[in-house]
Amino acid sequence: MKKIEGEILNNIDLGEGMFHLIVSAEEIAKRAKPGQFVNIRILDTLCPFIRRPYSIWSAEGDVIEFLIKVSGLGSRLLSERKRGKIDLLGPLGRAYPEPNFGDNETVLIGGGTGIAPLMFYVKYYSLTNFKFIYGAKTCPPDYLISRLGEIIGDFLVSTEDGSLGFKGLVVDYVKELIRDGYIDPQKSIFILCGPLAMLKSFQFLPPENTYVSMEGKMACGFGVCMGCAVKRRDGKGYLRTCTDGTIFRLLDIEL
Amino acid sequence: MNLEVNLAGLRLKNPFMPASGTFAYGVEFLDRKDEIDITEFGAIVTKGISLRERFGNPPERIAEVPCGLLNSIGLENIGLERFLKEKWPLLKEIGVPVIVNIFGEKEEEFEILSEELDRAKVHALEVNLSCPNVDKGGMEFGQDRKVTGRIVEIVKGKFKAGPVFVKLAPNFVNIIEVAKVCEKKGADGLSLINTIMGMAIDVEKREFLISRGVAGLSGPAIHPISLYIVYRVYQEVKIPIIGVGGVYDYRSAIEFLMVGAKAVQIGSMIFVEPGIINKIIRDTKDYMRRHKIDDIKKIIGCMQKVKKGE
Ligand SMILES: Cc1cc2nc3c(=O)[nH]c(=O)nc-3n(C[C@H](O)[C@H](O)[C@H](O)COP(=O)(O)OP(=O)(O)OC[C@H]3O[C@@H](n4cnc5c(N)ncnc54)[C@H](O)[C@@H]3O)c2cc1C
Ligand SMILES: Cc1cc2nc3c(=O)[nH]c(=O)nc-3n(C[C@H](O)[C@H](O)[C@H](O)COP(=O)(O)O)c2cc1C
Ligand code: FES
Repeated sequence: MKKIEGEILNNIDLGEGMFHLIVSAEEIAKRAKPGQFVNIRILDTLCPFIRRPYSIWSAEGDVIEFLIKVSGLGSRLLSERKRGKIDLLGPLGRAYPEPNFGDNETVLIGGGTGIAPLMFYVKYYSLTNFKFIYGAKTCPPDYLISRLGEIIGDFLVSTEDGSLGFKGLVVDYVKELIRDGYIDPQKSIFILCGPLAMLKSFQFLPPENTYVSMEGKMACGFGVCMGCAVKRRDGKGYLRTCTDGTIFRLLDIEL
Repeated sequence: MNLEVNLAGLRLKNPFMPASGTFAYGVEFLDRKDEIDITEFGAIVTKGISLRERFGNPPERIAEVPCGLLNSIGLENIGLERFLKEKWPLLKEIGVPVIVNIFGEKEEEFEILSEELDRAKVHALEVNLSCPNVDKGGMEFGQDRKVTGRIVEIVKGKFKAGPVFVKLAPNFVNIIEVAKVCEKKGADGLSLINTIMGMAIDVEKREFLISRGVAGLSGPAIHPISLYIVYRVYQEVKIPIIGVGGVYDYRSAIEFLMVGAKAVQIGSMIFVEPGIINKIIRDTKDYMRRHKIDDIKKIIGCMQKVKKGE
């Protein structure tokens, strides 16, 4: 953890309530690994009070990038910040497991902005043996589609309104892909990032080979408040999302 | 320039310390001196320790409200035995007084905790009689003057290694009356205040933002309330008061000193600015330099003599 004063280089409106925040922050960029996050102070006033956590979408040279959806006051105010200094705490959290899965194929499933850390993962490790599935509400902005193309190459999409790819929930899409033999759950490692409801819908996957990124509410992000509790499956209380995660093996936690 | 204060026999090199539950067990930051130098703190206050390990409440435990925070952690902690084995050996080497915050569901738990922590010779206790986030103990105790008095007696009877502070909150009680009882039963000081009970609702989903419904409110939103309580209780008791609630910078910290608090705890703001205590120490020195104050004791209680309009 390090508190860094970054500099906003660009903040691009992508449409569909999403924006692309590009920040220069060398000390974080140099150390950032896929799966880690940065706790951003939205403004130096007292409201919003606590920082907001965002997954690292990309880290290269001294630049870090985020893919953010406007969902409330904090993210809206952040979307309006186009220039200037920005107060960052990071990188926080444990990184994704290094891709060391033998013959298994890695299946990455992202819901909404949950694709951000998964894209970083593919790029960081130059992953080859993988499938990438993106579940969205509606047709994602062109900008995002072309960036996905650049980094991921081929990917699969489902939209709830059917405006692109499979029509319906991403979980139903993945079930279909399994039925069709396109994905073999016995020979795959699943890495999921998205809203809790989506993660819950995937509990049919083999829990020893499924990893999920949790996005529970956080007050500190660095392990002192005990606010970000995730229930352990063995009944022995809770783990902390911010320091024990944010990625957990499904086998170890209860959603 | 002198920032030293004597807090019921504890010698603090300055009045500033973390509030219980907002800085884990303190030892987590030993190797992060560039960001948080705990050796500069006036004291360290631990997360609330109970006799047995507690798992705490189910999520959601945190919600933001304007200028503040609702929490319902439910006193998740590692329990006395692990605290003494894993944390205390590191804590006692730091060279800063350590105040151990304790919590019990039954009177006998307070008794054992006090006995064992006395044996370990921890430097001071802070007895939490005001946690809103558990069904048993906590606030239930602080609400009842008789029970409060009895627990203070029990703790004082067993803990001789240093001063005993009692932590109270203004939830459904006349905090002045409870404060007086604590003093009468031998408490060496008071920590004012713990979080104030509150709640928030997601009206779209008709759900409480905190799964338990009720939670404790902290952060800048409560600062004027905690300040007034310290101001008033100071007029009623002789034992020293630690001001806590909503401190976010050196000014809000100095306000506590000016109404008579001998020390100040900083809680939720640590989540926002991990280095805030070091910054408050620096900025307070700066303030004293600007105002040509050579000894911090000269501002403690100075606003008790000034009433608005006089
Ligand atoms: C480790 C981690 C990584 C994250 N990465 C990203 C990311 O890359 N891009 C992105 O857009 N968002 C990400 N989030 C979620 C992001 O932190 C929330 O969007 C943000 O906190 C909302 O703040 P707000 O002030 O805009 O909304 P608020 O006013 O706080 O809340 C508005 C709505 O958002 C929901 N919400 C609030 N906080 C969270 C949360 N932490 N997780 C899920 N829902 C929440 C509330 O329940 C409410 O419905 C991440 C969260 C975590 C914990
Ligand atoms: C996440 C959290 C956990 C807390 N845990 C404890 C605790 O274990 N024992 C205790 O006496 N007070 C606890 N408190 C209360 C604080 O010590 C403090 O009294 C309160 O937060 C007000 O100060 P603040 O506004 O500076 O945060 C906790 C507060 C927060 C926010
Ligand atoms: S967010 Fe504070 S402990 Fe995880």
